[in-house]
Amino acid sequence: MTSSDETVASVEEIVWHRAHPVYMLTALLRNLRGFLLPLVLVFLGRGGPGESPVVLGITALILLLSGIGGVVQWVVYRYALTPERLLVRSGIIFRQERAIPYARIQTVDLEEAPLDRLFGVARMKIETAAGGSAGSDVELNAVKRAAALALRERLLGARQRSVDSAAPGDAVPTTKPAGSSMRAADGELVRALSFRELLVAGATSGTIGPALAILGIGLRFAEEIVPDVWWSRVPWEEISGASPGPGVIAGLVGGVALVAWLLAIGATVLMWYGFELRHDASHLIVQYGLLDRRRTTIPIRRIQAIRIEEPLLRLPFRLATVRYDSAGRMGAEEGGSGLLFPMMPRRAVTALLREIAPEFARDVDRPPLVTLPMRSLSRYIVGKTVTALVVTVGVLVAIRFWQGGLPWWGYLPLAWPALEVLFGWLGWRDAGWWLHEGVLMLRGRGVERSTVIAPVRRIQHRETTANPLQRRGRLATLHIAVASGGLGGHYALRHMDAEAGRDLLRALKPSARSAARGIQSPSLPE
Amino acid sequence: MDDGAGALGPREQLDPNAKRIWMIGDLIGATTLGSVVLGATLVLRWALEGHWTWVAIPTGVVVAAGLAWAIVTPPIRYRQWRYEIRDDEVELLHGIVVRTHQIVPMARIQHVDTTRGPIQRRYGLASVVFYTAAGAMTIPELADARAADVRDRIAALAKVHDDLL
Repeated sequence: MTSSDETVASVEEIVWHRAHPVYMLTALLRNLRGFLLPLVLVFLGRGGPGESPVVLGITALILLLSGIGGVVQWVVYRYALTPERLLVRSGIIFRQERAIPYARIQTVDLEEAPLDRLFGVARMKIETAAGGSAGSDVELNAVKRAAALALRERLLGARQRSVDSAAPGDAVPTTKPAGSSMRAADGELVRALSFRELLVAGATSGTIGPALAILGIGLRFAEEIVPDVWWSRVPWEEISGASPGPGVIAGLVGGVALVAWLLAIGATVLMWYGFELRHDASHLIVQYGLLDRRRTTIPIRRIQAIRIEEPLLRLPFRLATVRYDSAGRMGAEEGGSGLLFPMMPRRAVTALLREIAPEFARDVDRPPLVTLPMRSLSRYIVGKTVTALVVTVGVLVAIRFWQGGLPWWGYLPLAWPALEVLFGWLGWRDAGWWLHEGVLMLRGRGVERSTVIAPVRRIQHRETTANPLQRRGRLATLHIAVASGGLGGHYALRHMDAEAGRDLLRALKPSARSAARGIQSPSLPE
Repeated sequence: MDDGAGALGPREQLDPNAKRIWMIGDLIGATTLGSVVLGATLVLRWALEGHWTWVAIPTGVVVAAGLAWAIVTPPIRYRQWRYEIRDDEVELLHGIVVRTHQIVPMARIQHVDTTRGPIQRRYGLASVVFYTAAGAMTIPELADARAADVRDRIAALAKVHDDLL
């Protein structure tokens, strides 16, 4: 794709660009994606693909239709840049032409799947503040990488310019030569994830659950795939003959868990390989991925809140994940927020924030939090523990009837209420708030500990709620909401002192900084 | 009991007709819920060949509870509902089971609507709904003219462009 800067600069005519022809292949694969699993199941379920002409015929038809679809999608797909807007045309039956004003663009993501990298192209995802609602983001498919980088800089740069100096004549963005713009777009490296850290991240990722599920599916297929000869070598009689003692069971469970753990590490390496956080004067650039290379560009001034997460497995190592909320992020897979850095020492977070987003730089390691009163401890523990106890007792009774007595493993469910007590106490101990110079910090804990840093001026709305039990204990829950995705980022501090909550609710007023200072270090009635 | 907002809390009340609207709404809700329970228990009785008691008791309990809620709570809810439109903030205080105290800065409000349901229209009432970038909030059951007033007032005060998004 030739540099289109000159043509764009001329206001009169709109020049439509096509995607790189490799998009036909990408579109084909994407069209196929929905059929992939059923096809694989059909092929593996029967002895072989040659078995049934009907299956073969359907497969050929699906392939053909996907291919035709890919070509047509490439033909109808166009994009163009005008001085004010990005235009995207797509759709086969429902022709769609979408216009995105540069000024509304929130984030620009670049994604390179392995196929894309082979052809030196990238997919651009452009998000606007209308997150959540349909059509809030557009994709530019198979854009040559150099063009994509230049384009990204123009899209985000144009916005910066139109905000900084709202001179209408200045709206036509001019682009630097591709070489220099690429370097500028890369920014300065702030922090990278080393391979050792990557392995630690995988080992503590806590994604063993999903890995187990995948392992389970894999094992089911193994039965079909592994030749019968191998199966016949396994001494089934010895295994099934001996009644499995606790040792054998523990060994089996341990083995499966180990494999799942290794899978989880592998998945993490694939995902976060080569993670880099970079920044320039006004943007953060996050890039990662071994196969699918992703690169997100976030305007710093659009960050609404910073969230520091400390998963259970990483808490003892003082390792934290840093995320951000921004009005454009929809990412359902990322819980409505974007990732800044997947794992780093908690000690280093404050310094990192000071460097990349000073507005949010607060002591994350040992913040002087106002903690909760003693009387709220019961609110953290009682409800869930009672529920757990009731269910557990039910389970114990059921086991007793079923087994005619309680075997050693019958007592295992009792761990649940015990864990609820433990986590209730941890949740109460870790919870707290800190308001300092117009920035609110809330910390809370379910299983993982989560700390949110939100400047008061970025809080969209705020409320306290109090149910009858809370009212009896003079407690209330504080909620704040920042713009994030379509639904907003909602954060709460549960069971705080009702009076402190009321004062805090009033103090979180955007303009009145003096009011905020007034209750920085209140003396809480115990 | 502490009302959750302190002496500085919001003062404006909704239209007194709110009580009637809520009562009608709750009665419709109770009827619907009662019919669902009735239907479900009828199916169960037929399937399990049970006794009529197992239809009568759940349906009766649900309908009685719904009726009690519809008759008893609207006046209390009306008394508890307070709002106030200030120059810089909108403040709401409501709820009889869960007390909710909400504050929205004017500068964060993106747009504001009035909506009127069929029952509201009959009593000449409307609701004001205003939106921030993180959600929507409602002041229900205001007299038409008052609702238009509140809407225009919020719209005028919220005109400041939010440059933080």
